[in-house]
Amino acid sequence: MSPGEAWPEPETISTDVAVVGSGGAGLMCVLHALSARPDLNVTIVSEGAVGRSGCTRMVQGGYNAVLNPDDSVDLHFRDTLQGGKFLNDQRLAWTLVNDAPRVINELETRVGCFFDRDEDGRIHQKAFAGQAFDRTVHRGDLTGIEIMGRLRDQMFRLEPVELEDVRALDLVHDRVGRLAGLTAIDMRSGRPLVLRARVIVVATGGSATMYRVAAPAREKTGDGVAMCWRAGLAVRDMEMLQFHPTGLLAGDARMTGAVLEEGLRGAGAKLFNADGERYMARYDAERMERSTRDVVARAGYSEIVAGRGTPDGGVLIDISHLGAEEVERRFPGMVQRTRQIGQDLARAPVRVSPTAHFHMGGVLIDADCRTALDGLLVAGEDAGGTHGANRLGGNGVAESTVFGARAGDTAAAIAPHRPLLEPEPAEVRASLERAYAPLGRDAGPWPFPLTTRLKELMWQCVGVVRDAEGLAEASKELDVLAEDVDRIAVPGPPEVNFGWQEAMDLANQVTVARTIAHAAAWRTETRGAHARSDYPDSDSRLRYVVQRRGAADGPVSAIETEVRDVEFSYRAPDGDST
Amino acid sequence: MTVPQFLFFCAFSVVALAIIAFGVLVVRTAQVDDGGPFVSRALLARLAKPGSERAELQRWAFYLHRISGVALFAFLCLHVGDVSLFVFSRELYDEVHQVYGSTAMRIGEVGLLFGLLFHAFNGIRLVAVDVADLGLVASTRALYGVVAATVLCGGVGTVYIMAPVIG
Amino acid sequence: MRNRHRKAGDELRVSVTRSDAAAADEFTVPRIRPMMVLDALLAIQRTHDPAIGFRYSCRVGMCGTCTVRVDGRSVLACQTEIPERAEHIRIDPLAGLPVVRDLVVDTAPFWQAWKSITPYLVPDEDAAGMDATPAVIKPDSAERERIDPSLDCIGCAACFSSCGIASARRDFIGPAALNRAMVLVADSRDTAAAHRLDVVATDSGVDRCHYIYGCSAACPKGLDPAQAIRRLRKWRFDESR
Ligand SMILES: Cc1cc2nc3c(=O)[nH]c(=O)nc-3n(C[C@H](O)[C@H](O)[C@H](O)COP(=O)(O)OP(=O)(O)OC[C@H]3O[C@@H](n4cnc5c(N)ncnc54)[C@H](O)[C@@H]3O)c2cc1C
Ligand code: FES
Repeated sequence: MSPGEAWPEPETISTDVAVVGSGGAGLMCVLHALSARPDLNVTIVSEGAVGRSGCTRMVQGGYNAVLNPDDSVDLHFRDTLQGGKFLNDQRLAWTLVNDAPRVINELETRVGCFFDRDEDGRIHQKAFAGQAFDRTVHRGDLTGIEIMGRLRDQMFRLEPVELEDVRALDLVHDRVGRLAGLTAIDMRSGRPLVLRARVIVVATGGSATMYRVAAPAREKTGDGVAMCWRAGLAVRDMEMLQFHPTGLLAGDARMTGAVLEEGLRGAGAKLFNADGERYMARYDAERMERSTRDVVARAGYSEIVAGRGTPDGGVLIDISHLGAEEVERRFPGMVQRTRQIGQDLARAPVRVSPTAHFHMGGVLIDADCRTALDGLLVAGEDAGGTHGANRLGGNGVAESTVFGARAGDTAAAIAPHRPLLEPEPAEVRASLERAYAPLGRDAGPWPFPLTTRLKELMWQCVGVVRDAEGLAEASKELDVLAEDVDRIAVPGPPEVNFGWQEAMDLANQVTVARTIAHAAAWRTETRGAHARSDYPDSDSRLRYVVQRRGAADGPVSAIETEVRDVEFSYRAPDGDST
Repeated sequence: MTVPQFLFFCAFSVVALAIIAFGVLVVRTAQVDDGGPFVSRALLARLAKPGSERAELQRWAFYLHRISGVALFAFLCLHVGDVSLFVFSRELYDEVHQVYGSTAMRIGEVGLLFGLLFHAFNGIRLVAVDVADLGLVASTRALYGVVAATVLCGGVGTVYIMAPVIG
Repeated sequence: MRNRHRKAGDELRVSVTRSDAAAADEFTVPRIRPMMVLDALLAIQRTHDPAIGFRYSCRVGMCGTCTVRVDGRSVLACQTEIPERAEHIRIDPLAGLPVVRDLVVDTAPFWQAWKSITPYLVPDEDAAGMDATPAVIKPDSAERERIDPSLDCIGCAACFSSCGIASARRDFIGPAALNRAMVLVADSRDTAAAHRLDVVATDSGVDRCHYIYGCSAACPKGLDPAQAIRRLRKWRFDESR
């Protein structure tokens, strides 16, 4: 132990590029950085297993890219903006649609993925909601496993330094405030690390786990965004959190929230409330169940809130009219998933609820993933702006791989020109003090009930449909929660202690949750994923709010805001019918 | 019992004990591996289910194959020893070989016979897996065949071996 | 015990192998329905011992990090339902891999083996990159019919732990890596087949397999690594393939 501290002396590691997160964005970044400059020393810092954590792994649907000559990037761009209700940062969306086909080429020919083929042997592209052309590339309904499995294999070729089971804590600066590195904890040994790096890429994959019913992987607790937030970076669109309309309800089992894929509704699945009414007729009589994610999710939520839901708070999805055999043939994975929890999609209606799925908001970046802090890049779900108010199915992996690749290129270009700096010891100490505090306390709450409280609060007050009253209450409650999180005590050793990890997750989640509630209160309109029952219409003027951490210290920092008009650098909303 | 007979009997007992000890060792190491300590209700429940669960039997076939292999080898060493007594003295050879007729030895021989049969049939099964490309289910079925053949041939052999001392 | 009067089926006894001999290793958790093994572990973490060590991430059978042995069987904790009538289950860490703490194992030996077969595609350099066109391969070609059913490995190591050879820590590449080798050898886009066949023909390669079939029986994704091994055993003698 270092004198007077509750933690051992941190080990210092120096590297050229530190990549935080090993999902699609993280590993694509490593691939590109090391392909561009094999002489770089690249280090992956990953809280979960390398290539086997995060949500890119869990992608079922597929990947949007323009491959067919009859399709065009313009069309993909238009779909993306219309899906995003024109709130998108158009430079980012434009980059996304232009790079996506090239990344698919790379995934196929270099990385070794093999996507499903048409009869003629060319890549098959399927239909996905909200798109004017069938452009979703996939590998069965396990696309993410193919992409992440093969990217993980590439790591054996490129041999970056892999710090697996290492959780990044905070960005740290040098004496004059330049980015110098990051602090981290090796979760196996419980020992602290200081990573000095010329360039840091943050790709920890957003924070959608903070809802009672949620789809993403365990690690996605807003660590990256919170890390950048604490370092003073600006975030945007934080109120835009996408709910997937059909998440499984499995009681208290952890399977609750797992997604039933969108293709079911495409194939003709019907939604009913507990009274047996096909309620979509009241929300979107024309498109019914095939309406966009935001509309269907909101409809289901409204039914449940209005007391027309099942006793466990859900509605029913029914596709059994296609015949058991047909359902089994077309959706084997989904049928298996429902059987596992004692229901049967092929033969009977299944209880579902909207489930928190994806965070559109995140750190402000430019098209090369640069942020306001020199040397810091952000990619993937941690970044904000690409999807605007609502993400199209299939644009998520596209985003993480496209911008991951760009971050890798940028990192390779700037790393040689940035010096290795010396992290300020006081900052390192402050970061570790915060991290080790729960282990050091003798008495205090365990983290788990607080996590439950957070998820319940977010679900009730900052959920699918919001109003001023609920949001005000959420803000108040979140401040109380932040104080409680600051008192957490976890027993046990520092080695492989997931209770302690959860305490750290929770601190980051509350930080991000506060910005979500705050931005949601600011947006007094309904747009995309953000629905306000007290402001059901959309404004004609398109604006977004950029938030930054204010001066106050401690768990409840002030939030500074700056409202900006959306720039239509490529296409204006009325250029086309919406 | 003469002294050479006694010594031979002791040697045989040592071999038998060694075989048992090896069997225990295999099962004990198996306890560290998958399936090991669970020669239990859990395992029986699995074997009761048809389909891929029964493939678990092949793990036990593997253990049995190893134990029977070592048993046969150990016995063969002893047997080479007792047969080579013929080189020294024909009387000694006869004297020692009378021991094979004793009831205790015959019981041991029955055990060896079963080991031999299982090892041989199972060996053929393993070759068949390669040659005929037997998958999980087919090779499990082949194992049933191996067990059946072993029991059948072993049963007949047992009658032959035990008949003189029983009937 | 404590709650003797409660109805049978309301609770579940769970024994967990712990690395610290002094730590509690028997827990009683409330029975929920449906209930996966992961739910039992989470209940222990949440109500008995926050520091109990086990891993998971996706909880839908896609990440392959939650593998443990339940009553001796290597399974994904998140996908394995606790049988309706079970009153007691026993959970151990995977076999054949060093234990880090409690149920968390170090998967390094598994990945070391994986690495040894050159697990990544080795394409023709001229046909690879962001501007190269993906190969035209028909979905019903012989090649794809071999590869497609063997593709969705999630690296969970259930096969490794179920293999009587690999789990006994003998020098064996193991089922998952050999399955991957078969996939790449069969892939017409790859140029390193000869090298991989050399690797699988070494002492730690396919000949170590004794056809215990633990791998194919255990694979949570329904792959058949034993079939891959049988193929490789043939292919290494067959230049034409
Ligand atoms: C169930 C599900 C299905 C989806 N289906 C689709 C689909 O069909 N099509 C589509 O386009 N998109 C889909 N998405 C969205 C898509 O998965 C995401 O947009 C995308 O994968 C995000 O990639 P990422 O690289 O940013 O983060 P992730 O892939 O989530 O990776 C995050 C990484 O960060 C690591 N990490 C987290 N915290 C830390 C820390 N503190 N320190 C170090 N490392 C850390 C994690 O271990 C992980 O490796 C789906 C998402 C979910 C949840
Ligand atoms: S938690 Fe991902 S496979 Fe079980």
